Amino acid sequence: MNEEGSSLRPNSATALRVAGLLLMAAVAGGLANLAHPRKIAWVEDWSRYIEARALAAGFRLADTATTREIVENRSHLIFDARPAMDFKAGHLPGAVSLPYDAVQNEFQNVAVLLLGGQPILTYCSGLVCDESFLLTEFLRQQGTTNIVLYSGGYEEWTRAGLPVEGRP
Amino acid sequence: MNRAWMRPAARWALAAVFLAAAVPKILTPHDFAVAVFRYQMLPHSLVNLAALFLPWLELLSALALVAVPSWRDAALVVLGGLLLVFTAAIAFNLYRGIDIACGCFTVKPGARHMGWWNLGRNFLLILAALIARDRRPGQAR
Repeated sequence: MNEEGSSLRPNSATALRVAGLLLMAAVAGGLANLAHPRKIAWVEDWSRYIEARALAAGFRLADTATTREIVENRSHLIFDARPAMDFKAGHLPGAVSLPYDAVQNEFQNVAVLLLGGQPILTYCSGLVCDESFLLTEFLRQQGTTNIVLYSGGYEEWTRAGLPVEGRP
Repeated sequence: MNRAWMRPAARWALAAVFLAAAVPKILTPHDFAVAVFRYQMLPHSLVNLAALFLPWLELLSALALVAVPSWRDAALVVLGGLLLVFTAAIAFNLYRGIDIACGCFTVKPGARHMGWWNLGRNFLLILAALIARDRRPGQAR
């Protein structure tokens, strides 16, 4: 390599050191994960995550910041797809309970809310629950298309320190 | 005008930025894995491996940049490469409208989502990497 070249263009010694950095990072990352109290799997089945399923189904997703705006602006109907008991223990401000496990019975109670054509946000407990995904699919089948899914769910909302309603 | 101070300043600035970026990712590997996953650019089988590898690469390269003069060039190559990859990933997701947090300096759930300003910041960091290069004998100043 040209000795007069820029140092961003590696010569052979630099290339060896780059390889050294890559190797050390791989070893350090591996060892750190083995020692970490909350170690993660080397390879994870991310398709179980609700976001992967939602994106594959063409649903729009909302992150915590967007959901916060939605909650503060009261711009959407917010449906909590978790079981009613979880809803009672705490839910996003302004949310309405529509548990997916009882949606066939409960839907008639909330159908009137959909008449205004307001956009909808759905959520469930966290990244690996699927009730909000299934509820979004159900609502689409009922003809409602303006829906966003908050994939982080109640868990990410509370971890971000945002306010909840219904907590004793 | 003597601009000799610019090179070490750029090195320290770059190292500080990458150290600040690496630490939260190392402390919360799962949260960073979620951030990597959300970019929707890697096969699922590589998401966790990338989440374990990248922060350590940032950390070690940042340390080498300021603490080990003989490894400075290699550190700059790695950090420059990371900046190019991260900038391309951000631009690609902004272009296709995926609305996610950057995952650059914080992986907390409430983090602000990314915008075009992230690209501007990365271009400044690329500029810092170019300034931080050592001049070789015979190279124009």
